[in-house]
Amino acid sequence: MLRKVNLHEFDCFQKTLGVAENDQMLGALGRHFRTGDRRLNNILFHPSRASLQLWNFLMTEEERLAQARADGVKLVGTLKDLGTVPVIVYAFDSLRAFYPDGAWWLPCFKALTTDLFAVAEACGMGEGMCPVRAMLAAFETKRHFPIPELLISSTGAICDDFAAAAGRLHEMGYPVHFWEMPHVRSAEPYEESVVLPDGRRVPTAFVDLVEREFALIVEKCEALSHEKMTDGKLARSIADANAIRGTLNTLREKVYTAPRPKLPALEMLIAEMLIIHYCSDKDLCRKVLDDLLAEVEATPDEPGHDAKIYWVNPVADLRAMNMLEACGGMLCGTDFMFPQALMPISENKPPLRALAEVALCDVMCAPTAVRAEHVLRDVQRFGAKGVVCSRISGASHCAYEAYAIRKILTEQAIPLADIEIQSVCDSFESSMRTRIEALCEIIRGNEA
Amino acid sequence: MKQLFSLDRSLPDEFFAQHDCRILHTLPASLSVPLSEVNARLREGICEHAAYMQLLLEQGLFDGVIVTTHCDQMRRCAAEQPRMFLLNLPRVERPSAALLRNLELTRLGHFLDALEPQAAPLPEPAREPGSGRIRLALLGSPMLFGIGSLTRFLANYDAFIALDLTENGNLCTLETHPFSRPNEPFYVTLTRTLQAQHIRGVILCRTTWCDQYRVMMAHLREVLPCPVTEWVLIPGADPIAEPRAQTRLGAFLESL
Repeated sequence: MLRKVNLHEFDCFQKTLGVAENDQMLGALGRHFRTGDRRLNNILFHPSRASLQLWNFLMTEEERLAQARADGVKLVGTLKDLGTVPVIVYAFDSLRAFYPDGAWWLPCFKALTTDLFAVAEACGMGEGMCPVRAMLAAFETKRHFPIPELLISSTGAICDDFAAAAGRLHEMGYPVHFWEMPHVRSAEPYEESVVLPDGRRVPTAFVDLVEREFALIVEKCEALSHEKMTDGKLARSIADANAIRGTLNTLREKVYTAPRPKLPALEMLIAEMLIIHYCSDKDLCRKVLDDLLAEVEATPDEPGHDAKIYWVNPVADLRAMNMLEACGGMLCGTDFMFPQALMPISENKPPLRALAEVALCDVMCAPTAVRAEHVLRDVQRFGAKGVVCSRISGASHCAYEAYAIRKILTEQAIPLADIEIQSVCDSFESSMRTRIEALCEIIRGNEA
Repeated sequence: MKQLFSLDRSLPDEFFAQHDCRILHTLPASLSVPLSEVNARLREGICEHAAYMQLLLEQGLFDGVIVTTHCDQMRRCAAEQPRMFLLNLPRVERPSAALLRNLELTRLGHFLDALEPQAAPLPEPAREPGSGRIRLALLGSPMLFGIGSLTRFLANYDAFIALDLTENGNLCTLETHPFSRPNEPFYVTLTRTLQAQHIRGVILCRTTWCDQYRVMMAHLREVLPCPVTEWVLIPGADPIAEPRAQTRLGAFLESL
């Protein structure tokens, strides 16, 4: 089994590197635990330099955003679209994009020791809604990230909880520029159509619409930055995005097709999450992913008997990913809701049109069957033998998605465990473990 | 004539008539849909409205059903239902989004023309205009069977719904939607309408999982010129028959 260590052991490992304890990229994670990120003490880590760097990169985002602002950089909060609008923002030298949605992990990191959910409830989003409601509290308390100068959110065919949260944010006095993301259906035979990078044929009018919406976003960014955008700058930003996506895709390929795990599921979750906005620093993001890839390439292939499991949806509690390996499983592919952020963006088309086409590949804005088919294709590509569909507590899209994914997998005799994960899942741990262990046993039984 | 059902009223009934269709926006009280089937879907996490939309077709009660992209449940319940039309309703009010609307109208026309009339004609749902001293507005999730039972309940308090702004009521008369983004125009128009109609109180009704109307409550409290209360519709039953609903609405009316 892949070796993992607790926080204390990880800090001991950090000492062996001869780097200062408070180094921004290779410091001891214990310093974050001591300042309130209590959940770190319940997580197991991969004891490698690349993993330490990954965790430091994640945990220091707030510091880096504050430093960027102090250096005169303007911050743009991009909401919901997951991966595309930041490519536009990063084309501007003086702008930096980040996802305030990331606040959905704060209750987990703080191990529910903060008042985030209580404040969110006072803002109008109470219990029973997606943990993304913590974002409202983060704005209201102004404690968790610098308030961006500009907020840009997709709207249209997006999930209800986020539509409600972004709308409420606007009402609370944080003006949001909304852009329309249509429900991406297939083109009718009589409609002019275009083929998206994921192979779907959709009405050309959808691409036209999103391209126009992106042109408005460029105007907003130009007004904020006093910088004129050009196709050349956008093309460079797209090329950078493609390079980073390429590294991540290679990493995924090597980890998910290995006979035994070379990086733990949790580290892969974090690494994949970086892609949506480079964790606020494009250059560092590239280095972090390059080093993870080097770590994986340096790890020899060994025969393994872990149950190969594909994971659908990001988890509200990071500890849940540790559980996969503890139950005898290994991560073998993922759909963390943003396959569009992993796709190469065409460099042979007008930049905004190329971005519009990739944005329309968002499976969350497509019919549920499209996501289910995407999951099946990925499961077959990586050779996964079972699927965990982790529901997000309170998220209204989950019921249908789990049903659609189960249906298509059942036709292929691929078992699925459907579990719901809270922001801190300790009290559900035994039932979650039982279900994941049962899935692993079924997979082993099928292979026998 | 083909018989359609939709909880959305953003398109005029005349549009459907041009395609030889009759459209209903509330269900007749006499309509029988097995409650056990509704409850089975509720257990899977499917909301009452989405469950009904599917069952209306499965039971052969309508030739077609139209739902919109405004919420997760409706968007997803249309999957694998060839006689259910998912209308892409843009949320931003810009010319580019208007083009999307035109595209959808063309597609809807094709859908309607392809339907076969098979469903037995249903009676027109009864309307019970209320009266009383206290003028109220009703806002929020669609009321599947209309507001007849609510009207009878309110009469006990000398109150009535003077302004039905539910989705399948007269929300479309405001010409702006609460789910539009940004939605300041909605609140401005709503406030003006409430004042013009001398509304004393607002009831925001919503189904259990309707997050978007649930979150509206906070801003309604901030901006409306009159008191507002929330009424959570318990699925699968006459919503006003539920004791908690009666207590809550009763207390609200007494305070008015």
